[in-house]
Amino acid sequence: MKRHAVFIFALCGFTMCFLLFFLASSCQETPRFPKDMKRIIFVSPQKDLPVWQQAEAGFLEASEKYGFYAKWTGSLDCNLEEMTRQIQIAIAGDIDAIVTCPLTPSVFDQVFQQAREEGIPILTVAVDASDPHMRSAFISSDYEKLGHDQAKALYEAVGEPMRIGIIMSTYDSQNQTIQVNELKKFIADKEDCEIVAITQDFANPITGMNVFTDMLETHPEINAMFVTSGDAIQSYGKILAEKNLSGEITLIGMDAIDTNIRAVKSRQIYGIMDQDFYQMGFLSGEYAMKLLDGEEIPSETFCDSMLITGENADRYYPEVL
Amino acid sequence: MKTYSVKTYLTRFTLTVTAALVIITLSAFSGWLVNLRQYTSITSQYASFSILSNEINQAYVSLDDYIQNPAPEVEARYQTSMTAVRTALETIGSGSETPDIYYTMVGIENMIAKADQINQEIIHTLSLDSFHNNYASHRESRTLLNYINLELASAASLQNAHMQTRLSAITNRIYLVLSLLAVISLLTILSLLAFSMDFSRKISAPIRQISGQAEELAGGNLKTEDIPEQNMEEFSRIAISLNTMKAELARTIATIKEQSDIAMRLKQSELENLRISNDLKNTELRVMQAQINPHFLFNTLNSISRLALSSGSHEIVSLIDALSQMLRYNLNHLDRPITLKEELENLENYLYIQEVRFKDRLHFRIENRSERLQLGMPCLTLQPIVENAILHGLKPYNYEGTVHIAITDFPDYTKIVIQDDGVGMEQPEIRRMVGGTAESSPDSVKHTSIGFKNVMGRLQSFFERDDCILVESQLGEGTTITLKLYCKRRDPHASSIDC
Repeated sequence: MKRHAVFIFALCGFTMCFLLFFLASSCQETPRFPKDMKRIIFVSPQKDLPVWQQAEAGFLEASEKYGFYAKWTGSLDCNLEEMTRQIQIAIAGDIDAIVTCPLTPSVFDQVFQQAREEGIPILTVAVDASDPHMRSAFISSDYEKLGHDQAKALYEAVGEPMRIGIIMSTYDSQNQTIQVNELKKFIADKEDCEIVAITQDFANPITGMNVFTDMLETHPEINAMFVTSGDAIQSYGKILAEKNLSGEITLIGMDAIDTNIRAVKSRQIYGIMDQDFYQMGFLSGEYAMKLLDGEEIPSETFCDSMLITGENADRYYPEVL
Repeated sequence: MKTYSVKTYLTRFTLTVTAALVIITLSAFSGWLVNLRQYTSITSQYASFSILSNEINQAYVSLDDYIQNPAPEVEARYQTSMTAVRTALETIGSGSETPDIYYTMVGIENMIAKADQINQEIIHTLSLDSFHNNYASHRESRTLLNYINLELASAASLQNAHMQTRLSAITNRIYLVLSLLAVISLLTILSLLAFSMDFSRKISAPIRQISGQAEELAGGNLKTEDIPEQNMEEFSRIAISLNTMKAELARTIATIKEQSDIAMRLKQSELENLRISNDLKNTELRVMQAQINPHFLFNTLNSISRLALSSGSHEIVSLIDALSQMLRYNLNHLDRPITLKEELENLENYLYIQEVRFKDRLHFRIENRSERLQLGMPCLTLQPIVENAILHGLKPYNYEGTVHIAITDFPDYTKIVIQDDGVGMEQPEIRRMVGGTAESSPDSVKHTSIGFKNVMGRLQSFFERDDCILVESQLGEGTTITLKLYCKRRDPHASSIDC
C-alpha cells in the first residue's frame, strides 16, 4: 500500500515535470504557408450582415474543401466606393480571383474591366455585373421567381383590395428592381391591387424605421408591404406591433436571419423570403477554383429560395426561439 | 525482501533529487527561452511592419527627390530604402503566423514589386526623357503606394490582434509554467520530507530493534525472537550476527548444562555403586555368619541328642533328628529342584514336630496314592502350605483340627490336595492371598500372602504354567489348596521328570 502511494506520488511528479517540459518546449513553430496557394477574395457589401455571414461560412467551407486562401472583406454599410477600392487593391496585389456583389453594377464596371485586363476572373453573387461578359459566373437566387413568389404570397394573404407599400434598399439595386418588377407584373391583371408608395431604406434599420413610419402615416390605406430590403424587417415588425397593425398590414420581407425569423414567429410580420446565401458563398469559392484550374463552370447558377411564414418557421428554423 | 545498502539508498536519493532539480531547471530555462524567443519574434515582426512602412514611404520621398534632383546619391537612397523594404518583407513573410497576414503580405509584396518596377523605369528613363512623359507612371505608382499603405495598415492591424493573442497566450503559459513549477517544487519538498521520514524510520527502527535485542541478551534472556531481516544491508548483517550470536550462546549454554547433568548423574551413580559395594560387603559378612551358624547349630543339636540318648529320652532324640533333617533339607536343597519323595519326607519331619508340639489337638492324615515319587518339584513347597493351614486355619481353633493331604496321579500331572477344617477365608482374603496386594492386610495375612505367593511363583516358574495351584475356601468351612505337579515341564531341556 505504502509502495503504491510512493509510486503514485512519483508518477504525479514525473507527469508534472513532463507537462512542464512539454509546455515549456511547445514552442509554436512559425507555420509555413505555400506562397503559390490560390488567393480568392470575397468583397461583400455588408460583411457583418447575417446573410453575408452565411455566405462567408459557405465561402470558407469551399476554401477548406478546395484548398485556397479565402479573404473575406468588403464594406460595412454597402459602401460601393470602399468595395471597389478593395477590388482595386486586390487586383494590384495580383489576387487570383474576385467574388463580389456589385449592388450597383455600373459602379463596378471599371474595376471589373481592370480585373479582366489583369486576367483576374470575377464572380458575382446575388447581383450580376452590368455586362455578363465582365464576369465569369453569376450565382444568385432567381429574383424573378423570388419576386413573383413574394408577390403571389402577399396577394394570397391580403386579397383584394390590396394597397401596397414597397421598401427597397436602393432604387438602383438590381435584384430588388427585378423583384419589384415581378410584383408589378403580378398585380397588373388584378382588379383592385395598387402600389401606393415606394421608398428606400439604404439597408439601414434606423433609416428604415423612419421611412416606414412616414409611409404608414402618409398612406394609411396600405394593407400590404412588399419589402425587398432585409436589414430593417425586425424594426418594421416592431412598428406594426406598436401601432397594432400586425393583423391589418401584411408584410413580406427578405432574408431568414434570426431577428427576422423571430418577427415571423411572433406574427409581427407575415413572412420573409429565404435565400440560400451559404450555398451562394460556397459555390462562388468552388467555381472560382474550378475556373483557375481550367474547368468549365456554369455562367449562371440560381439557388433555391422559399417563403417562411408563421406556419412553417418552426419546422425550418426550430433553433431560433 | 530486497535489501540495499545505506550508501545505495543515499546515492539513489541524491540522483533523484538531482534529476528533479535538473528537470525543473531545464523546464524553467527552456520555458523562459521559448517565451523570450516568441516575444522577440513578435516584437521583431511588429518592428518590421514599422520599418516596412517607413522605408516604403522613404523610398517614395527619395523617388520624388530624384525626380526633382536626379543625383546618383538620391537614387542610392531610394535603392537602400527598397532593399530595407525587401528585407522587412522577407522578415514579415517568414515570420507570419496566420494565413491572413501571410497572404496579405503576399499581396503587398506583389504591389511593391509592381511599384518598384514602375519606379525603376521612371528612374532609368528620367534622364532620357522629361518627367512629363513619366507622370502617368508616377501617378500609378503613387496609387500603388496608397494601396500598399492601406494594406500595410490592415496587415499591421491583423498583426496587432495576433500579437495580443500571442502575448496573452505567452502570459497564460508563463502563469501555467509558474503554477506547475510551484506544484513540482511542492511535490519535491513533500518527496524530500517523505524520504527523510522514511529514511529516518529505516535507520532508527533497526537500531531500536538491535539495541533492544542486545539489552535482552545482556540481561541473559536468550528466548527473544530473532530480529527480522532488514532493508538496509548493514543492519541486516548486524541483525544476522546478533541472531547467530544468540543461537550460539544458547547452544553453548545447553551443552554446558547437559554436561553438568551428566556429571551429576555420574556422581550419583558412583555414590550408588559405593552404597551397593557396602551392601555387598555387609551381605558377604552376613553370609559368612549364616555359614557359621548352621554348623554351630548342628553340632549343638548332636550334643543335645547324645545327652538325650544317654539319659534315655528317645522322644527328644527323635524330635532333634527330625529338626536336624529339616534344617539340613532347608540348607542343602533350597537352590535346586527336589523330588516329590524328598519333599514328602521333609513334610513328614515337619508334621512329626508339630504333632509332638500340639499332641492330640492337631491331626495329620497323608494319603499318598502316587507312584511318581521321583517327580521333580521346587523345594519347600508343601511345608509352607501346611504351615499356613496350621498357623492361620487352625490357630483360631487353638490348633485343634485336621490337615488332610491327598496325593493322586493323573495322566499328565500328580495332584496334591491339602485340606484343613480351620476357619476358612472369604473371597476378598483369598484374592489378596493369591494375587492382590498385601499392603492393607493385617500382619498375619500379609505374612501368609507373601509365603503363599512365594510358593505359587516358584511352582509357576518351575512348571512354566499358571494353573499349578488352586485355592478354595469358605468362611467357617476350612480351606482346600490343590497343587498340580506336571509330569513334563514345557522346557524340553530341563531336568525332570517324565511321568
